[in-house]
Amino acid sequence: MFRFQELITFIIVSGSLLAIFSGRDSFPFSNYPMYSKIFEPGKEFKFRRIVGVNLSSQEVRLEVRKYLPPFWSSSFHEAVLVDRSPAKVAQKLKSALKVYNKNLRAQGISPLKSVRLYEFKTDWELLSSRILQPSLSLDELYSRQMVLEVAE
Amino acid sequence: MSSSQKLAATRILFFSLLFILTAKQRYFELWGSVPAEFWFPNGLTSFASGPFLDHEQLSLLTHLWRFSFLPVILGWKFRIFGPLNFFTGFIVVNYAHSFGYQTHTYMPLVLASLPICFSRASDSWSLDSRRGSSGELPQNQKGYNLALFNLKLVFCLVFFAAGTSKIINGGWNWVAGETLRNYFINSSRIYFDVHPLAHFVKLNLILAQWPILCKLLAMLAIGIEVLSPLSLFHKRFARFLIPALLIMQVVIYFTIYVNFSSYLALYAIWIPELISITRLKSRVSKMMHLAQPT
Repeated sequence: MFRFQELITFIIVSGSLLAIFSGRDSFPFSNYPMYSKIFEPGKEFKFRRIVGVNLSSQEVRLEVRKYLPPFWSSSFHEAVLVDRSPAKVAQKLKSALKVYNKNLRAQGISPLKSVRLYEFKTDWELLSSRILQPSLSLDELYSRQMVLEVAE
Repeated sequence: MSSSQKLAATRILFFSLLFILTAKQRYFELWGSVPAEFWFPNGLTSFASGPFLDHEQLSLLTHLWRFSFLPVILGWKFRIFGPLNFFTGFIVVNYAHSFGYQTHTYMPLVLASLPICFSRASDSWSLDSRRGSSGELPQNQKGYNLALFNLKLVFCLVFFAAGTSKIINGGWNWVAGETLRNYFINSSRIYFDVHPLAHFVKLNLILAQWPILCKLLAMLAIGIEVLSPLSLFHKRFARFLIPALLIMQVVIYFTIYVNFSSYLALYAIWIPELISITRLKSRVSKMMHLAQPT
């Protein structure tokens, strides 16, 4: 038993150190990089968001938890954008829209016409100084540009 | 408590919490329904060119994983169900990490299962030991001690990796800059559809009003993460660092909106080590003696 546990010690230490210093995850070893990236004030702050477009051409927030399990909003965005090549993102959005609409129809709700991927930008100093005003809508702080639209 | 008993206690606590907090959830079998376009393999699934388990197959494997928890907790035919629990859990959790989303809440649980599932964790406090089916017992405690050490090693390396990543990626700027405050400010927006209790408390927005406090918290977080391996070498360090890490993760829930409750199974590894039943009994009886009227 002792010899086998020594082998396990070697596996745990070498796998973990490799993940840490290579900066890459290889299941079940990870460098646990969550929230390790720094943010520098003075630079532009940007992020991407996916929204739905209903049959009346109105933009709606996607209810990911309800209609695209096991994803929730942030995990869905991470999975879609893990590979940012436009063709790959478009493929994923199309297949996700298909599943989303199938689940909507199953509940007797009208499907979405399309989904759109936007890139939002803002100035960090402005966001930082005004974010704590509860009455402020975040939409007023960002400029946005559509990156992609995909229909079913 | 002997090392064999400590390992047995860890077996019972770790797998009980792992089942209640993680394995019971429907989350894992749902990955069998995710479209193939999302396939982004990681680890051993990198050998597969696409999803290889449909919803039913994944469901069956997940149920097998869940089923193996009871015999493992009871220590019944542990030499069969221990490895079964590890391999089925590995496949199920690895599969869930193969669609582009990496949650770091389950990886250490799978890794911690390795030393315990392949140890003699049923030599004490188990059905196997009562039935005398554990076989010939080892003559020394080295194997048990190393299994316990490996569990704690997994725990410490997780936090060490997290702290080191922050230093490698951000350096001093991670502490001295606005990074943690940025995460506090944005977490309500990013995680708008999860963790209603954290949204109700809004601790992130409260703390974000004090930039200097955010910097102090950043320094403290990196400090206790990077120093966590010291817990392996002396109980005195463990008695401070382990509770500090637990408090940090509770604060993370209310500020960064990430739920690390599944890690309670990892914290359970430290209970047999840090809590002495004899000392606890003596303290309780002293308190009762003091409480009695003269």
